[in-house]
Amino acid sequence: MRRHRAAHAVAVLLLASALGSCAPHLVAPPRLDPQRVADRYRVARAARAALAGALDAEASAWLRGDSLRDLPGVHARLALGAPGAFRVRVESLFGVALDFAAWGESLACFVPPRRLGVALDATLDTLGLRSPGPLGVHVLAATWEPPDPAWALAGYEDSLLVVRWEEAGDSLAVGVGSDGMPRRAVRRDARGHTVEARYRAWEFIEGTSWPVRMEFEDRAAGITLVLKLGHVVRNAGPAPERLVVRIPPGAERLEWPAIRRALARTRGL
Amino acid sequence: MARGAGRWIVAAFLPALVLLAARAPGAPAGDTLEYARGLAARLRGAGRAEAQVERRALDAFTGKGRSTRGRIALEPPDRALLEFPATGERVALRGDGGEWLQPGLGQMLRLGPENAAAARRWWDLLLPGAGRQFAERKLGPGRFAVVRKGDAAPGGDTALVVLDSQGLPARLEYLVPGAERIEYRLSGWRFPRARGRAALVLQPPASLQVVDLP
Repeated sequence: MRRHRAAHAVAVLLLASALGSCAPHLVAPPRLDPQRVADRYRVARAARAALAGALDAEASAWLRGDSLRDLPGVHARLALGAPGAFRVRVESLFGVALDFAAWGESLACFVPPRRLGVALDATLDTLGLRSPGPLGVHVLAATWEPPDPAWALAGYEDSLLVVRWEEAGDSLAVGVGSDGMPRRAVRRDARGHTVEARYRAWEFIEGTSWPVRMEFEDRAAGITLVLKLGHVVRNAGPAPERLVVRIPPGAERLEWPAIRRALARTRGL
Repeated sequence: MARGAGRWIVAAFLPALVLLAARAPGAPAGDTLEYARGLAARLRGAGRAEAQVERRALDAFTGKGRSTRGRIALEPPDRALLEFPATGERVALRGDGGEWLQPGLGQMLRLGPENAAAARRWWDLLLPGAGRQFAERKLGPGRFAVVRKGDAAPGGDTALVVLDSQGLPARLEYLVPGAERIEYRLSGWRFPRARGRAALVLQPPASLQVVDLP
């Protein structure tokens, strides 16, 4: 009787073992060699940088934040002129609400309905933002450029290979998927102000993967800008003029102290 | 900041509508600018005006022209409806506010009294007493330039109005210095009976978010 019970127990264990071996196993896929991910990133980044030299897109943008009441989404046109210039023009069927451009260390903004313009030089006007032109291109084209030594120290965090480096006093981190596409980028300045870009969706544009849905979060302010691109095309026309915002004669020009006061009134928004 | 942004948006988009609007019935004809008299007279008789609209503008990025076709309806004293089927956008504007349906952005803007007041700044163009705020200059047969008085900016907000052989608006051009010149071509004017205010109030589809602007 005892031998019979033991045989029964062994049979149950064997059956359980056999059934278990047939069940699907949850095995994590092997992680790619970081160097291969880095190589994929560099190739894809180079393609995006080339495309960003003359790229136009339609954009829809929404600003969200707990401290904000409902704000309307807006339609905009976006022009990139890598490596150092971009332009955003908020417009609708009825006209232009705001025209903004940044190139190198400079930026200009014109609000036609108010006939109000701003032109600033980041190096002279203490914007707290260096090189707005190249930075904007990096953000919008996801062309972050980690130095080679940083890749050597990159490590996996969940499914992303995260590479960190310092740049002009700022700390940067980019999380790259196994396909070589950046999923997120975090920039923290010397004062601890942190902005995170998340690249949520990609599309092939002329054979190049391009980010078409992005989120930019200012953690301290609790504000997120959601950007969705469509009709992304290479602009074959003359490049320089399309990246320029002109403040017409007679328009009121705001100077930096006035802008700083306005920013203070709106708590930095 | 949010309220300011809302006002900018509305202020940018309303002038073209306003330029198309008719003055209130019963207002002295002498206070209506000359280019609007034909339209105002037909509106007084019928109650509603409808036309095909083609919006043309130069693309600042490509340098090429862009065209969008739509429809407009006007009803005195202060109602306008603009529709662009290709994008699904619809704008209703009344003296007490309005709605702007933007399916591409998944939203409908509901304009409150503050933005309606911003709109009325331009409605004044065709209301009694407009002559105190606007100057009309005849450029030739059926061609008028309308400029806000006291506008210090060179080439300030200016509208060019061209009338057809019936004396109805056939072309409107609106320019803000530093921005684009927008041209509206109007054709196929019809003057049916008025449908009343309720027909010019847009109801939001359940799928769209409603955003209130003051």
